[in-house]
Formats: sequence, C-alpha cells, structure tokens
Amino acid sequence: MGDIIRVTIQRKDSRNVPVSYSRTYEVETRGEMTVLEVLQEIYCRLDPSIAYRRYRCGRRLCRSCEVKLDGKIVRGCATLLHPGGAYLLEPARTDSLIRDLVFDFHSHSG
Amino acid sequence: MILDIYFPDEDRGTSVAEVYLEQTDVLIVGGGGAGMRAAIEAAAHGCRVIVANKGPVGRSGTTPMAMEAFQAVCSPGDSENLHFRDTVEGGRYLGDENLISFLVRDAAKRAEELETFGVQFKRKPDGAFDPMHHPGQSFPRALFIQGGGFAMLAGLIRQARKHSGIQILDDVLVMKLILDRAGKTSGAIYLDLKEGRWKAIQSKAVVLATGGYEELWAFNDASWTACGDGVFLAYEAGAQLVDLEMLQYYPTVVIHPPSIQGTLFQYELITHPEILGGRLLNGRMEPFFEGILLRDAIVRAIWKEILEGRGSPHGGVFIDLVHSSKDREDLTKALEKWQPNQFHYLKDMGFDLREVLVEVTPHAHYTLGGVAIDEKARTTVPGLFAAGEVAGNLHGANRVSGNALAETQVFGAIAGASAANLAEKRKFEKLSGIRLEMNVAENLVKGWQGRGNIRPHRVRERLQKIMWQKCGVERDDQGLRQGREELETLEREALPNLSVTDIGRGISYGAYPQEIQEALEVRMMISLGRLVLSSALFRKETLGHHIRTDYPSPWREPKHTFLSKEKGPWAGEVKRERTGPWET
Repeated sequence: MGDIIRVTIQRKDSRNVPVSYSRTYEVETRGEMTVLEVLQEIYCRLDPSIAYRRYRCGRRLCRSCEVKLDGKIVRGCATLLHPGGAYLLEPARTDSLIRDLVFDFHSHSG
Repeated sequence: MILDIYFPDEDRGTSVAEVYLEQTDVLIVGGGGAGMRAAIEAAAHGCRVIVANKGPVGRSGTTPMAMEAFQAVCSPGDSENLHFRDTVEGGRYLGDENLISFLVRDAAKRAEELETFGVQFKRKPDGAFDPMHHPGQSFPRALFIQGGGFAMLAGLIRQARKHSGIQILDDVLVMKLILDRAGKTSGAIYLDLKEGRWKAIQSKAVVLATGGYEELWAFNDASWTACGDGVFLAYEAGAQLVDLEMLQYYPTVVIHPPSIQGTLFQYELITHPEILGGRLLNGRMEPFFEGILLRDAIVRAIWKEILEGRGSPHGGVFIDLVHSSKDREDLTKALEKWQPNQFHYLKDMGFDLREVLVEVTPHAHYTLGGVAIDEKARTTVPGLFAAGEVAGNLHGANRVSGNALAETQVFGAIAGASAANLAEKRKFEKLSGIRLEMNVAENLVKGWQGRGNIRPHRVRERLQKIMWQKCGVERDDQGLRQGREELETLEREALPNLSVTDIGRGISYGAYPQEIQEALEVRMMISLGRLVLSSALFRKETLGHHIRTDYPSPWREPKHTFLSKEKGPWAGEVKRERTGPWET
C-alpha cells in the first residue's frame, strides 16, 4: 500500500541550449514497473512536458526505449523498477539529443 | 536539395515568413518494409527519394514487430497456383484476385532478393529453404526470416543507405497531402518533430506505406505509431477506401500483466505437435478446440470461452507449454529455435513459459482494410500510390500467415516502380496550396494551445475503449450505432478542447512536441474510427474476422465496402479477372 517509485530525470530542452536540469517524480505503484511504464505514468499523470520515446517492439529488440539508468544503458521496455527504489534516468546518448530522454538515432549507425 | 523558398505573393496572414520546402521526385510516407522497398526501387530507377518516417526508422512502426514468416512457394509439388488458391480461400473470397496473382507471382523473387540485401532465411543443411507449415497453407510455405521483421527491415535499411538518392527523415508526422490544381498529388505538409516546425515537401509522386490502424482498438499488438496516418491522408485527398471494417485479430497475445501486455506468441507454433507441442486452455484448464484452425476460427473459439464465462482471470485463455508433449530439453531447444526473442523476453520479465501459464486473448493485429489500390499500386487519386498494410483490398476477410511481409516486398517494389515511372514524366510546377495548408495546420494547433483542458491521451484511451467495446471481436447494429454516436460526441466536444503542452517559441513548438503529435494523431484516429464504424454497420453479414451477431450468415457473394470523402459506404465487386502477365 502506498508504495512509491522515485525517479529523477535529467532533462534538457534541446541539444542547443546549455542548461540541463533534473526533476524528481514520485510514481505510486502496486508493484514492479518497467522504466517505460513509469515514464508513461509520469507523462499521463504528473508532467505532460516530459519527452521520451514510447514505442515498444514487444520483443526487446529495437532499442527505441534505451535510457541510462543509474549510469548504465538499459532497455526501458524490459527493465523493472522496484517499489521503494530511487533511480536516476538520463538520455542514453547526449551528442545527438533532441529533448529530455529523446535522441536522434539517424546520426548513428548503431 | 533543400530550398528555403519565400512566396511573397502568398504571404498573407501567416505567422511564418518562410516555408521550409524541399523537392524530391518521390516522397514515401512510412519507412517500414513496404516504404523501404519502394524507396530502393524508385532510387534504382534513378529517382531522388525522401522517406518520411514517424519515428526512428527501423525502430518504429509495425515491420520491426512482425514475426518471422514470409510466405513464398519453395517446396517441390507446391505452386503459385496453390499459393493463390490458399490466399483466396483464406481471405474468404473477399481478396482482390488480380492483386493476389501479383503477390504469388513475385513473392519468391522478393525473398531471394532480400537475401542479397543480407537478410537471412532459415535453410536446411542441403541449402534449400526450411519453411514452416502454417495453417491455411497447402504446402509448407512460411519462409522463416532469422530475426523476424526487425531483421528484414534492418537489411532493407542497409540497402537503402547504399543509394545516395535516398534521404531518410526520422521523426516526421505527415499532416496533409498537397494536390495541384489538376488534382494530382504533389507533396505533403509535415511536422518535423525534431525541430517542432511545420515543413513541406514537393514531389512528383507520393507513396503511402504507413501500415495499419490497429491503435484504434484498446487491445492491439501493434505499436503506438499504428494510427492509420496513411489511410486518413488518402481519405482527405479523396481516395477510395475499402473494407475498413475488416480487422484481423491475432488469437494469442499476452493480456496480463501490463508490462508485457501486447507481446505476441505464435499459436501456430504453440499448438504444432512437432514444434512446441503445447495447448490452449480455457479458465477451467480445459482444451476447447480440436485440430488446426485458421486465425478467424480460433479467435471465435477463444471469444466463445470468454463470453460464456470460461475465460482466465483477466479475460483470456491460457497458453500451456508446461504440459508440452516435448520433454524440457526438447522444448527449450524448440523455443530457442522458433521463438527465441519472445521466449527470453518473457522469461526475463518473470514468465518462463516452460514453468508458468500465460494469459492471452485476441488482439487487433492487422488491418485488412485500407486504401484501395490496383495492380500498379495506384490509388484512385492521381500521383498517389499505396503499398503494404495501408492498402486495403489484397487479403480479403482474413489473412493467411506470411502474406503480410511478402506483401510489403511485392507491392513496395511495384509502388516504387510506378511512382518512378510517373516522376520521370512529370515536372515541378509552382504549387499554390502549401502556404494555405500550413496555415490550416498552424491554426489547428493554435486552437489547442493554452485553451483546452482535455489531455489527448485521455481521448485516445476513450476512443480505444469505444472501438473495442462497440466494434470489437463481435459486433451488432445497436452497438455500432452507439459507438458512432460516442465518437461523434468525442469529435464535437473533446477535440476542440484538447490541451497540448509545448515549450516552444516563435515558429517552433520546441523540440519533440510529444503532446502536439498525440493531439494530431487523436484527431486522425477519431475521424478514421467513424469511417470504420460506418463500414462495419454497412456490412450486414458475418465473414472472416467481421462477426455480426445480428447477421450471422455471409452474403451469397462477397462484396467490398467502399467509401470516399464524397460518398458513404457502397458495395463493390471483388475483382476476379487477372490483368497481369501471370497466367494460371
């Protein structure tokens, strides 16, 4: 009851602005949630200005949802966050950042 | 290639001084299997091509989610005639037989060509294709793509990148097609999501390859991106749409828990005694059908269990591999061989199929209906072509496994060639409609900024629920009418009051205006939902995946449901004669 997943997100309005900032969100949950579910919850209930890629291929293949979780690059669709935990989310790549957690794949071949 | 063009004679009452305009011979909307194949073909004809994709190419859309099957004739004794017959019968005689004749003629050729693009198919030790035998195929014909649709698309993208004439735009929402004074398709207005700016492309031909509209339904195994963009664009441009009510369900998609909801596990493999040797069980742990059924039949069998109170706790049935006829070692090998990605994904998420039952239920899987095309992939609008799932008259009332990926390659290539042939004959002319259309788009968004109070995701969820409840697996007149009224209400009351969050200044909405994208999608989806409901009301029969409880029998003769912007639904003949060079 009343379990919380606490997520701090490293945010930036675009690649061209110098300022980045972080925001911390508390997501209520009844159990484990994937990173992607947590982001969806934040977008729908807490902060509509957050940008992340929502696509999910359903087989953990496409890497569209890749983010850096506590310093390690993971796939958001298949990485579980636990109630009571506090996590840091950052964009998986910053050199081609578009906004917040969204980056441009096109300038990379990988 | 990039032109920043200033139109002084049109500069009236607009917030932008310049229109960002690019020119290309062929514009392809959608960078999945069909779009990429069309791009390669058009570029091989010497055209400059722009592929405009809503997300990152190869990491969005439906092709990356596709299973491994590509249907093409490859076994001794099998023939194009049999592939043709299986497809026509599987589609309950509603598929356009002229289009089907092209599908079966070119499928094997396109599979072999994919191999030259680096896509690998499963082969036997002697080098022959090693196909699966899927329900509805009179011979084993489901060529197995190593890595599924994801790997197929990766190969196509690699091939496309070898052509210097192909430019790929990621993160682009195409808003409206532009027609010239003669009514010919001449480009499009789009929202560049990276920059949050409206832009335009002028082209000599446009190919729609945007996939389906499964996202209209609450339970679907397609992606967030499958909103029917291309069907909506074609409709707005005046094209004829066909059989929009025909939605194929996939019987066995995970329903619970939410973290893995939407993951498809192939029933063709589960129930195959020699592959996985498993079963489907109802909520009472009883088997409820016998033999090997086609998708529409198995969906009906599952639905019956659910409706009659024999469903699983979350309203589905169970996949049971725990009691597989194979021992654990053989089962593990088979899972590794046939469904490695899903097996490991579910296992890592806490659902080891060898040890637990997983709840599945039919999900919206493939939209059989869409834009009407002919054998040259022409729509009824000049200069506008369509290929892949966005097209609507190929499969009929049910689709046989493996024909979707084959369709992307066969009709993608045809559309690319047709668009190139037209582009060679056409010159760029001054277009007058760009500024006007851009104003319309800007004003639409302006109406939402800072005024509304309804989040677009709420409207999307409401729409999906209406479509699932009123136009789901089973349909009737009363429910469909109610659904139509509810969508009309949504369009009238919610749409003008959407709230959109953006961080932009000046002519930009700011980078990645996620909620503006969602609002634009919701607008398309409501419009399309109403057309689907009208079509479903019109088809007063039960055929294939369209189950009308108030009209349980099929019509004496299958007919298409056509509609366009000018005309409501009407019944049209299914083409039986073949115009192509292929003869039986």
